[in-house]
Amino acid sequence: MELRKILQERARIIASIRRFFSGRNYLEVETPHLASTPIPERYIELFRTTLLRPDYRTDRVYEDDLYLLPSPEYYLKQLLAAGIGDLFEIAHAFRNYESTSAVHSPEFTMLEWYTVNADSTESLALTVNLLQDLGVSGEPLVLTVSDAFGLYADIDLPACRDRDSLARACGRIGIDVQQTESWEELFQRAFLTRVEPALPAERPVFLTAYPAAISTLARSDGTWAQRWELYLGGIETANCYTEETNPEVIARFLTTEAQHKRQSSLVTHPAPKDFLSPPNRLPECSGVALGVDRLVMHLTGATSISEVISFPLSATMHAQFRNNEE
Amino acid sequence: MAKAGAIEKGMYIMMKGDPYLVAEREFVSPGKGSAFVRCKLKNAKNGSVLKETIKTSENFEEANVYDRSGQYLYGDDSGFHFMDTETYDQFEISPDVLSETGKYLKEGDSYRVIMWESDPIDVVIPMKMVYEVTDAPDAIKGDTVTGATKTVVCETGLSVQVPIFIHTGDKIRVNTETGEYVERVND
Repeated sequence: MELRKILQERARIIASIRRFFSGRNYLEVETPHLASTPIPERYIELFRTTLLRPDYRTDRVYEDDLYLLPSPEYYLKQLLAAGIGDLFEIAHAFRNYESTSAVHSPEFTMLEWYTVNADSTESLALTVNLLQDLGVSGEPLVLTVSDAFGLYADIDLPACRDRDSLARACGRIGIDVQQTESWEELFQRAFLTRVEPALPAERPVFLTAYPAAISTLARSDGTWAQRWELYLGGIETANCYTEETNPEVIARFLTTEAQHKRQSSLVTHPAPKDFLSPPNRLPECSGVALGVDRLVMHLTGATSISEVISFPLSATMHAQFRNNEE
Repeated sequence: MAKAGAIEKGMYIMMKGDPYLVAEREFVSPGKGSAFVRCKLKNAKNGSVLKETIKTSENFEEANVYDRSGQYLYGDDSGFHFMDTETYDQFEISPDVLSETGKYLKEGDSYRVIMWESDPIDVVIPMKMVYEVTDAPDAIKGDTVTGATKTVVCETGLSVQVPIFIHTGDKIRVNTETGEYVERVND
């Protein structure tokens, strides 16, 4: 499709999203892209930038680190805690150190919305309505992660709670298991090798009830998290939680993730202090983050994210960056 | 040793002691997970296909392959027979290894042969090759539907779907990746 057509289609989709949420009394908000203490997430590398503060009395310049946010979650949750109610934002999000692929761009557009007094099941129902409204075809398929492992990987996931039983199950289906691999790594490799490529591409697929062993801010019973991911055309397009609201559990998550980041991240940063703790407690709610570029790809039949972005970073800057590799 | 993030399509890598050709490679990073490369690998010794997902930060070993130039002599039940164009040594490649490529080889032509240790593990063929049609059935009378095709057999035994205007003795260009007819070639 030519660029003009793609941009028209993109504008139509974004206008429909706004209409959809405004018509349901979700407040559209705009929050900053920069923060000094973003939420640490072990697998996400951030862009760090510098705020220059002039001090004219001493003629000095102070430099402070700021980070481009990988999603609007950090500020949206603070607005929810302030009692704003149901809200949504269509924001640019930034993720560093991702390999070039047809579905990744360092700068991309994310739709994120939160529904107060709702859980992930209610968010799923609303998402089905949104997809219908946008003209996404196919009867949605809702499947638990365990069912998907049984169907597509021949692994009885609920029976593989510890690392060794999962390692045996992976070995049995031909995955080359390494001694050093953790439960989570084995889960991801079995998922990416067997499950994800087998998901039906002609209809939206909601994978629900992820293992709680994958560290997130979704509420969990210790075994399974109230979390789902939406696949469109076989591509991961949205992620939803029943949000964890317990301040102690949130604090524990932040500490754990910050520890991981200190050990293995290229860009480390300070974690927020007293995040969502009283008097700024997060109300009971459910949040969904949806990759708008991937949605546009799906609706236009584009095969690469660079086709649906007006100035894809990779195309414009790769040649220029090549010079720095020497 | 290099990191798996450096794996590229067309590369030969070692897995479980065998050399594998990377037939497909894509980067995948789950929203809540680390980055991986998802590969479709073809065992260069027996042609079996393996799907593997490897963490980009994991080490991998590139297979130590080298080239040799081989003239294709003939094929029989035991395999495809070649002659090294420098040493005149004859060697043979099993049909398992050349299951896809074998049918495109033309007797007398020289090809780049990929070697691992002392074994030939693959033959590189051009993406498009020209063949002479040796057996073309006549088009069925009255079959004037646009886009109608028929199956013809070429000099190497290769079968190709072609438009109905192709006759025995014609030369055709074939895409060796897809096996599809490209065009008729006029001398």
